[in-house]
Amino acid sequence: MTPNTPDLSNATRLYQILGKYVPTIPDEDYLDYINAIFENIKKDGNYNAYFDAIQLMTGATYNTLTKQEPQEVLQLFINSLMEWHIVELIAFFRNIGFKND
Amino acid sequence: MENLLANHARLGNFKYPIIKAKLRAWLVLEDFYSNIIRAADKGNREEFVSSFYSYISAALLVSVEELQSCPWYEITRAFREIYTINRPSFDFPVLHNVDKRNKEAEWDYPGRDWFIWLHLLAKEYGWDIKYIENLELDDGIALLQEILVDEQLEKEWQWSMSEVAYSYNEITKTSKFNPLERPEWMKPIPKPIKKVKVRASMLPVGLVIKWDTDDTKYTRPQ
Repeated sequence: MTPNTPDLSNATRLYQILGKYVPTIPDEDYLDYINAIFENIKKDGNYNAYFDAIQLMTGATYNTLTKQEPQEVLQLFINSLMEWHIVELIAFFRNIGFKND
Repeated sequence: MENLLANHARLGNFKYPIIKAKLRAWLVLEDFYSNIIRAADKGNREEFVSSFYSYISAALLVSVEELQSCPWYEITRAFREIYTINRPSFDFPVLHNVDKRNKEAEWDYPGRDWFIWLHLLAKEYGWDIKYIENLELDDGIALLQEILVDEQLEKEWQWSMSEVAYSYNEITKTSKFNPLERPEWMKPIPKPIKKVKVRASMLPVGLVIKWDTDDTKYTRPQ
């Protein structure tokens, strides 16, 4: 699989997918922060958002992801969000007031 | 030269100098900025991204294709740098309450702001296009504000001479002057609300929840 470029267009798309699941107050700990995003997705039951985000960041297909161990997929989610500077990304889009619903 | 070395944006392996824009270039940037804000407000991804690239491309003279290959955080950091450097040095009232989200006039078109400024400055001072487009940003804004103030005061004078400015009250048999409304930025700044001390005995009893903080925290009145 070829990871997608974290360009502005993909970053905007990622914010559109994950924006509403991100805690309002950023956690100082990266892992806690990402965990909160994951928990919010789980609470909402919107697993499409979870898979769409991973597919967008990694270029992996839905079929590949569903064949992997859930723990591996979660690890991929965590690593990708860190590579895509998720805290900075969310802060930027929220500051500029990007509408996300 | 000093500016050239001090301010730069890093995109990929290159450093691009950020030069403070002159009047026309600044208005072009402001136009793109308005588009960014409008697109963000609507949640329109395509428009948002393309306006963003146009802004950076115009400021750094880098092609959009080149920008598309850069990670988003380099683009937004460059944007922040450019925006900060190109801010006016003073807090000009004429720039207050400018709504970047709405452009309602039917005769509006993209990039019209520059022609409005050019028209006003050329009409007032008789300068040519080249001279006006290369005005320092602060000078351009300050002069535009003076032109608008003069125009408004002239209108107010003419208004005060007209009978439509006065309403007659049949009961009190007096006339009342109704001043011409000023634009938002010329209106008096509201004074901050005075803090008033409240006696401890008049404070609410029990736990006081502070809604502006984390909802798990609360304070107890003394």
